Amino acid sequence: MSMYSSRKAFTLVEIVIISLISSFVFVSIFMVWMRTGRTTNKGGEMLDLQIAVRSINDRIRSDVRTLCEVISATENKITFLAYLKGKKVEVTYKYDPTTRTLVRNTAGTPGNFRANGLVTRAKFSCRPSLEKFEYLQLALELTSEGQGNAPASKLAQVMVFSSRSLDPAFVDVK
Amino acid sequence: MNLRCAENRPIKPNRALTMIEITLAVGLLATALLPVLMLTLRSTQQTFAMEQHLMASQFAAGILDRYLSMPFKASADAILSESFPKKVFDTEAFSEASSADGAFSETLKRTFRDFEYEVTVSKPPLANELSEMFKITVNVNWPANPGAPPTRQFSLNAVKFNENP
Repeated sequence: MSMYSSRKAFTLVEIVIISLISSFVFVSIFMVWMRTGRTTNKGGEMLDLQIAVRSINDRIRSDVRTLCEVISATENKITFLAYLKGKKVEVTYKYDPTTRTLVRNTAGTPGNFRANGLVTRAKFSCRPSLEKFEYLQLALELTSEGQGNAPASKLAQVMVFSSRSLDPAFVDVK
Repeated sequence: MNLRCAENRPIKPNRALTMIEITLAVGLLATALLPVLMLTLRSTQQTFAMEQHLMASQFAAGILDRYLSMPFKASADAILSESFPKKVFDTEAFSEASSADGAFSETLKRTFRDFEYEVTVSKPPLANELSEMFKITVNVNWPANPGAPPTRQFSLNAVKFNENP
């Protein structure tokens, strides 16, 4: 006498339902995964911009704090005298839109920032005017290089730098 | 004898997984994977929050520098003559910079739209030190989410000394 074991396989309906549920779950996971990847890249870009903006802010604040006289100023360039290590030194900040770089020069020695290629806008302005200089204003925009089709990250800031070493405005009387 | 025993033993059904079991397994897998992915998303949100802190700190440093560079009396008068809290975007520097270029203005607005700041002056504890110094505190407040009331704060303070007491 032969006995049949109750070996029950999946029915077609069960397979279809499981496939649907599995594909829904895996597509959802894949989408979240892709989004996570994009967000991670964005986070990395944002960090790069933050480091760059902090570096620019700290450098200029340190220089302008000892500024004693503004020599010349345009939207893209400012030259001033500042006390560095006890000596009056000519400091120049120049924004080059073609290389998207903000360059700092001190008395003939070239130097630049780490924000190479990231600065998409830098506008200097002396307040209230060049002649009656009280503080320096810098409108700055940094843009990341971007990866693939993802939009580039941007960071904008308006910085105000004041001097504590301004020479008094003496007037010649003779 | 052995043969008889084998015949008498009940046949164990070779049971496959049921649909419910497989569905549960897939659900468990998804539930286990999602928190790992969410962790990465969370770290990026933290990076954005850090950006807001950085922007607030630079703004506060600019304001504080401005008052510290003024003469003693002029500094106190300038602070007391203004009414706080103020919108960061309403300050002269920001309103002028944002009016120049549309794209720049948009980026600036995205960060600073809900930022507010206030500057306070505190007197020294001893009466004879009144004419010698005061403390300037710059508080920058902003919301954690756009449109919500400000819940985050960055505070910076310094003592302004009288150059000619």
